[in-house]
Amino acid sequence: MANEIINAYTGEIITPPDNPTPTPPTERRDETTYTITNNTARYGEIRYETDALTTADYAHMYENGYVTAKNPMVNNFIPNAEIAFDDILGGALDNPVNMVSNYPTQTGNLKKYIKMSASSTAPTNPDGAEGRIVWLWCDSGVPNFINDTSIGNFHLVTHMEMKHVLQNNSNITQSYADVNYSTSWQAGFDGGHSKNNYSERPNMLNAVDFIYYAKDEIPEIEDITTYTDIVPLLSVRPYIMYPTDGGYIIANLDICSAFTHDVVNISKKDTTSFNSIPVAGANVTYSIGIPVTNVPTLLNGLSATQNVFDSTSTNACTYFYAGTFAGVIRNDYNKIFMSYAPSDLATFLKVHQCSGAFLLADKVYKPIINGGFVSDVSDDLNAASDIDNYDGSLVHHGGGGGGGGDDDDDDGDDLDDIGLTLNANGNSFISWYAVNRTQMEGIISWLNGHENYVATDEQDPIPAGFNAMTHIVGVMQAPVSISSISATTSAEIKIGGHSTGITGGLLTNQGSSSVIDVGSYQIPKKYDNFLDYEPYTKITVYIPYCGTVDLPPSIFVGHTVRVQLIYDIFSGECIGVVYCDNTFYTSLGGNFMTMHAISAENVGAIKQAVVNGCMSVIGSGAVAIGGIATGNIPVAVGGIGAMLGGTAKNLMEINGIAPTMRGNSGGRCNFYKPNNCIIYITRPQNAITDGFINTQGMGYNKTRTLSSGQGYTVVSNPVISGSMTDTEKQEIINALRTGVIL
Amino acid sequence: MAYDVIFGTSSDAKNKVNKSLSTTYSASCTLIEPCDILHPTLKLQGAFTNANMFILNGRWYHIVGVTINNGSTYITGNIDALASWAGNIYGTSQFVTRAASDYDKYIPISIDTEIKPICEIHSFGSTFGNSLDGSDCYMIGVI
Repeated sequence: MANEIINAYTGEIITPPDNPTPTPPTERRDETTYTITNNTARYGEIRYETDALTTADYAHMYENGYVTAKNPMVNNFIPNAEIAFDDILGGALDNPVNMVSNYPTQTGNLKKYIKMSASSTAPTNPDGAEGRIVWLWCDSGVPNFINDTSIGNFHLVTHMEMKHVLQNNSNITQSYADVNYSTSWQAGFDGGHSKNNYSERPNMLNAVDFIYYAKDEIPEIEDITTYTDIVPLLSVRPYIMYPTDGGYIIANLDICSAFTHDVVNISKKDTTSFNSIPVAGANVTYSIGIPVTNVPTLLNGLSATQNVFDSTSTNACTYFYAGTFAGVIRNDYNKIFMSYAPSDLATFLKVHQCSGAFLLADKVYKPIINGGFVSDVSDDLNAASDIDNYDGSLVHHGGGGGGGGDDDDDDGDDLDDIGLTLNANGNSFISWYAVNRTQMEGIISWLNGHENYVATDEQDPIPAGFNAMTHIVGVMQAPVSISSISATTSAEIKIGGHSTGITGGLLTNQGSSSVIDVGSYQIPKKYDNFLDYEPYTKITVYIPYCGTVDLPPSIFVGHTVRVQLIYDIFSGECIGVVYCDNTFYTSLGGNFMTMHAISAENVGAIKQAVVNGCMSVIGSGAVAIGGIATGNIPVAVGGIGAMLGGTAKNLMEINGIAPTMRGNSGGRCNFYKPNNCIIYITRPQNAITDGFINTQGMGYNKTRTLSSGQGYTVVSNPVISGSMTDTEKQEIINALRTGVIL
Repeated sequence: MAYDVIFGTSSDAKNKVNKSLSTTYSASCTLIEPCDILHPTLKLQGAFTNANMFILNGRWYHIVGVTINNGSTYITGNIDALASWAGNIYGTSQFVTRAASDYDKYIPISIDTEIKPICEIHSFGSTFGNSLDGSDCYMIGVI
């Protein structure tokens, strides 16, 4: 008897049957819909899909109680089905631009769409395979959808259910209304595809379907308490599109070389134009996704489906991420992919770029939990929930994975025994915490109480001779509010493996935590003529902690300058990245944080040295005074210098004690600089008044018959003929040169 | 020899090609010889009513002088080549450098009037907090 399983969305308690042999779904939603009637050859698009999951896979999951929510894609799966593809557009697909149609001319966001392939042949569908349609649409006029100027308005939705599209022409409008009803601009998928959602959105069959796994069946994640019932895992439908002579083939993932574990960056395109159909094998990045600026709005509208999108911009490339949550409505969507934190447990989409195509990897991913964090994902549902070592062995909780694995005892011969763990940064044994001033004071207080400390706490015994300061590797101060550091997860600060009782923000991912969206500013046209550009208009932007950079008006006027600050937590260096809209323009370096010196060793000796040093300074001063009195000036200068130096380090040197110094002291100059962006736009005052054009004209520089113009006109090298006298000709020529009114 | 001359008033700019006359009237005039057709002098047989242009044999003239002597009125004119040959001018195809219609607003032109630049300063972005009010962010690295 299988265990009872709770559907996270509906709360429904589901008891899988004892003999859960997969059967075709009783609720067939598409069985009468595969005839394209009155098709205008613009709408029809049918293809079959195969599914990367085999029926055996599904049966296995169902039998083991993994599957609790209906997944029609899996139910309707035909393993190894051939792809039926019939281009009926008469070569229209050879030019993707031709696929852009204006149907339907509805108000609202949906104005144009593009179909990627078409067929007029009703697929034979004896076993319930579903037809799919791939839709690309844009919410504004986009003449060709894969280029830099249009990508920001571009959206992809895949896998619309056929019956709502292909009934007849009139239903196209209905289909659009249905899509619009979903209110979701969804990058390739519609999350939250549960049974209820399915009925609520009868016209959307989504690229992403969920398979819910009972928590009990995945023991590795039992430590995750934020989600108490269900761990959502993601099943992404496979498809790959690549150009052929006849259009685009949408094929199964297995056809092309794909790599598992490739996190899908739904990314901005490269420079290759989609209009020129690349040959097979060409390295082309196609793009799907949602503009970053739309993400918050989207998420607000998608709370019910709990889609998660996020983006980060590095190296002049904007990446769009997508993931899904289940179980709770998430507001902190921006943390997914930025941090593998337990509170952000989620599944996410993987996209892989391959030759001449893009694909969505078709895997069911399972979060890999390491030390309470989702550190990776795996398509092996039986994989241990630990991070893999470089050699494939398990580092932690692996149960004999070899190669540095834990031997599960406390004899002090491995990292676990001494309290070290490979933190989420994955780069060292060092954990970095973001703390505010109060928390920092707490740490200092704790350190003061634990130097050379002998603890009596039985729960957290600190051995004799423990020097807490030796475990501090760096302290820096950032001239920002701690709230700016978003990619953290709350965690108790442990020093040397010992609890401090102080909670800080553990930096969970270096790559994403180091990006701060500083802000953006739209630079409007003022005169809407040449005065808005060089040399009349100049634009300079100040980026906090980096400096100023000139922005060419020819690029930025009429566009939005967007600034990001990317900083390195270890060096304190930063770069300010300037984007024109969402396109990288330039970057400039700076320094973000202030280092603080740490004298981490021989603390007691140092303190003693300070005392001795002070005494030495006093003594030197006395010598100085004495020196002056006796004419021994160098001694006096040395004493004063030491005193003016006034640092512990100098004092140590004076006394011959040289502690190990770590860190550097940096100035706090940054703390006094403006901490937001400033843009300076130098423009001419409006010299072109209303009467200017009537009396002076504007640039024209073209040949035309004068009768076609009106008003003030200046002619270069006028030519006049007629029976007038030469004097009259010359008078006319002079007048045309200096300007006449037509 | 007497000529019928059309007198009238034009308020158009002098450099306007196709001028229009108002308050027109005809009068019989004789030409004072020798006569330069670009700068003719007419002897008006009747009374002269206010006008600033006249048309003689299809040519347009600006009235530049009116003299009364022994009861006769002598009117001197200068040729207006633009108005006289407007049809020829309109029919030509020319390279127009500046125009008040159908112009390209993004073609820079020389502007004689003084352009005094002004600087707009805008602050944007509010991600960063005030670092001096105690809300500093410290990063501490520990093992």
